[in-house]
Parts: sequence; structure tokens; C-alpha cells
Amino acid sequence: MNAEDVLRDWLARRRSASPTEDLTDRIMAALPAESVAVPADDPSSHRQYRPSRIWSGILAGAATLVLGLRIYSALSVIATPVAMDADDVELQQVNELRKGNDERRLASRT
Amino acid sequence: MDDDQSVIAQVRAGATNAFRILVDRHQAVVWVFCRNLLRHADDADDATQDVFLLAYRKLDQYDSARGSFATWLLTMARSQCCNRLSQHRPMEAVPESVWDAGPSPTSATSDEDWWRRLDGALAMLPLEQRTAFVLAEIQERPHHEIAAIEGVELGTVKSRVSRAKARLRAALSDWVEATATGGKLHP
Repeated sequence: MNAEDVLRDWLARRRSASPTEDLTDRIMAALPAESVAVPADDPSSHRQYRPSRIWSGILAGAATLVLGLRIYSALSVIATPVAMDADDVELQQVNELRKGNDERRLASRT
Repeated sequence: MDDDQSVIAQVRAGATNAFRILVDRHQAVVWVFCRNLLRHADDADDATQDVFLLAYRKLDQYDSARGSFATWLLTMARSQCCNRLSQHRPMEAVPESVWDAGPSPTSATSDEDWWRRLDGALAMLPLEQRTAFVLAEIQERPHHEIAAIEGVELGTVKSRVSRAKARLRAALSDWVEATATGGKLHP
């Protein structure tokens, strides 16, 4: 057998191979659902995503503020009775002082 | 292909299903290239799928002024195949099974022996010679296109193809001589 004939037949055989019929369906099924994405290294892509980043920042700030207010109000509820007790003590001390003064005034008159 | 541009424009505008036209049109070229570089048909299927997924994701980067869509796909296919080959262990001198591409026109056993020998010789070529040979001799792509795919000068492509052919012929000639002298063959 001639080597060139063998080579030619072998090349023809290699050329004649073809993919399975369902390869197109397989590829299409694997495509991501979204439309063609803007390349990641394209500067315009950063512009595209900037508004959503700003909104994320605003939402995060608002959430932090709400959390802070809730903590403050919870601490107020806990601390307020203590403050009221202190007021009562002070009021009681004032009343006792007044009572003492009145007694002294009565004693001095008599 | 000029029609590719209009289809690409549709896909870029959001018509994902239009991409099927590009897949139908070019999958055979990509698959045959991958199949001739990789060992198994399943690997070629996977590589072809990866090439088209990459093409879909990077479609905005395709510039028709720099080459045809097929050239762009083959460039990515080459990278895919090189990556896959570098991840797997080197191929043995002779593949386990003969390439399955239909029955032989004459004596099946005899031709399979010859082809097995050539399959093994192709697998043993340096990668850059193998890709150039597959593109030039099996896929019959013009040398200037191969130069664009491989990112080398035209002369380099010619040199690689020439060396690859010489190696395959040498491997075949040794075998022909052995056959003529009655030597026992162990492909």
C-alpha cells in the first residue's frame, strides 16, 4: 500500500467526523438566562452598576440608623424607671428638709 | 461569513435565541478541531460547549475587523484544548481505540492498523505542530487564518505544518518498510 494513499484516507476520515445532533441543544440549554453581559473589564460596566451600588449604600445606612434607634429606645425603657426612682428620692429628701424647717419654725415661735 | 454580523447584532440586542444560528453554523468547525486535538469525543463535546459559552459571554468583545467569527471561535477553541491537554496526563504513543469515523473503504483491519499508527504519530507531535497541522491539513483553513489563530507569523505556520507532515510521513514510511520486509507490526 502507498503511504500517501494511507495518509490521504486517514485525513479524509478525520475530516468526516461530525458532532452529535443534539450538541446545539445542549449548548443552547447551557447559555445563561440573561442577555449578553457587558464585559467585566469594560469601564462602562462600572457606570452601569453604579446606581445600584448607591442604592445599596443608602439602604445599608438606613438599616443601621433604624437599628441604632431601636437600641436607644430599648435602653431608654430600661433606664427610665431608675431615673424616676432617683427623682422620687430627691423629692422625698426635699420634703423631709421642708418638714424639718417647718418644725424648727414652730419650735422657735413657741 | 457576512451574515454572522447581523446575527451577532441581534444577540447583542438581547435576542438570545439568535445565538442558535451561530452555533448551528459554526459548531462543526469547532468540534472537528477539538476532536482532532483531544482524545475522546466527549471531551470534544465539552470543549465545544465551553467555546460557545465563552463566545456568548464575550460577544461584545468580538471585532469583525480583526477576523471572521469562525477564526475568533477557533482561537478560543485552541486555548480550550491547550488548557485541557495541559490538565490531563500526556497521551500515550498509541491511542487505546481507533478513531471511530465510519467503516474503512477496503480492508477494515488493515486500514485500522495504518490509521492507528497515524493517530499515535499525531498525538505525539508537539502541540503547536499538531494544532497547525489539524487546521491546515484536516480542516483546510488558509495559512494566514492559522497565523491569526495561533498568534504567530505566516512563515512559522508553514514551518510547523511542514514539520508535522514530515514527522507523520516518516512514521508511516517506517511502518511501510516494516510491512514490506515482512516484519511483525505492533501498532
